[in-house]
Amino acid sequence: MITLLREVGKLLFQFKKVHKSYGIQKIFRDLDFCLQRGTFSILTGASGSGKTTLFRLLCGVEKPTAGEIHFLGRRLVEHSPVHLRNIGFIFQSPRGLFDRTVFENVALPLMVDRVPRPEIESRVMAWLDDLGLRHRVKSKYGDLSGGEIQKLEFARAMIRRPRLVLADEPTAHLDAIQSDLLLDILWEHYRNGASVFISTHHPPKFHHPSILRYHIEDQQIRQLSSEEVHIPRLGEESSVQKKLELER
Amino acid sequence: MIGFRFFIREFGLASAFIALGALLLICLWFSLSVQSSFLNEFRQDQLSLILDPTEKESFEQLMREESGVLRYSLQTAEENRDRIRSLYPELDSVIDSISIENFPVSALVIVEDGRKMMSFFETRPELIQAQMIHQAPDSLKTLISVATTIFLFLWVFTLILFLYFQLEGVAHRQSAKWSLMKMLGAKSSRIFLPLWGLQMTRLLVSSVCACVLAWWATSYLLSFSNWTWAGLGLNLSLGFILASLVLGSLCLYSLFLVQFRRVSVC
Repeated sequence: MITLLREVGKLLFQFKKVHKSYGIQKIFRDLDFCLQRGTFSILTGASGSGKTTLFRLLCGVEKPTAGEIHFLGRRLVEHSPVHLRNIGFIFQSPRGLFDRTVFENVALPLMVDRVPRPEIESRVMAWLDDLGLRHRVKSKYGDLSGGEIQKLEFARAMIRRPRLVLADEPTAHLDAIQSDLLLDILWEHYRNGASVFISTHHPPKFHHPSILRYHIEDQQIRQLSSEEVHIPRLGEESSVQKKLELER
Repeated sequence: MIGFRFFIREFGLASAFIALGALLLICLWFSLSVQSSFLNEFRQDQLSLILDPTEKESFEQLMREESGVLRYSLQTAEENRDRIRSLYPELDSVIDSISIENFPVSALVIVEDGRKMMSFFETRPELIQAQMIHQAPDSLKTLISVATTIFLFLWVFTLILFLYFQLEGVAHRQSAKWSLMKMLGAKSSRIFLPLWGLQMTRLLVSSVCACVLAWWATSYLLSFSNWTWAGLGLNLSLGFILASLVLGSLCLYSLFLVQFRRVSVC
């Protein structure tokens, strides 16, 4: 299992003295931060600390007020938009096409890649099965509940099997069981060779040496040491899981 | 209300595009017709000369030796008298009473450079008593050029507006889709091509309407005038439609890129 050790250490993203501010509100100051390839990284932080801004900087939607962001050794702005095809984005707020069906929304990345129709159908249906959305295949995006939208967004981000997943609060609108399901999928994806970077208020309830945990505070990002992370190791049951088991 | 405003704007733009396109076509047709008929007569400069009757042989010798002269024709005093008589038959008795010595010996000389040749003749006053140059009227040429340029400019401007307002509406309606497609790494061509197809169809229909309007207008002009010009040709119409589509594609792509860059990924 263990993570693509051969790839760990290669830099995906590198922030060099990045400043980001909105007017007088400073979000990041002199931020030096690296995101390594082949890691499963989790970002935590208080609301308003800059988690979403960090993801927007990683996507290239926001530009730093000062400093540089490098992606795979080149400045982020120098990459062509096509490089986005290797990245699965999951945003906090919905990004789907409201007048299209669930199927069309999930299939969109494959349509962009000109994947043959039968393959699109099989892959979309497989994802909808996994996420329990099959019965909603013909529903309009606008008719879905918050949780269903979040799962649809997740399916759309993952359907290309991207080599990098950037997920901003992917489980914000889901209950604990659904959240765990999504995190399990992300973990499996990571074990299959991808890099995963998620921000969440509900970090996975297991520990693994490959998981890197970061925390935003005071306009900086700090990597948490194992002593600071108080969660059971993989295989141990947490009190929450025990409670859920009992509820079932 | 929004639908009505949209319809009025679309109708207004389409009408302006068709009307200006037709006016441009009429201007081009007029310009080409004038070129091929009226101005064709003035392709080379012509000089009318009044000669000293005693120096006729010397003049002919000079014409044969001078390299700038393309061709010339001499009119004797009798020939000139007969021409005046044919032009003014009512003055027949008056012309008869005038002695033949009072009619000039003239020459019509076709040269490469009229101004240069006039300067040359001025140095030979013993041969040439008077001279006059015939050239195409510059004011007509200027008028046609200015009118064509103005209508071309207005037509291009309308073409840009015609596409701009459509594209702005589409960009507003589809910003979510464009944003998502951008996020998924789709090339801009994936969005542009379907849009291009639709807009070119619109442009094609409008251009054909402009051609039909111009054809009707030129036929009407020819029906009540005594010009013997050919009507609006198929080549000119096809050229106009092709130019509309090519220019429209370039404008649309430029406008699309501006709009597409404005759409953020999320």
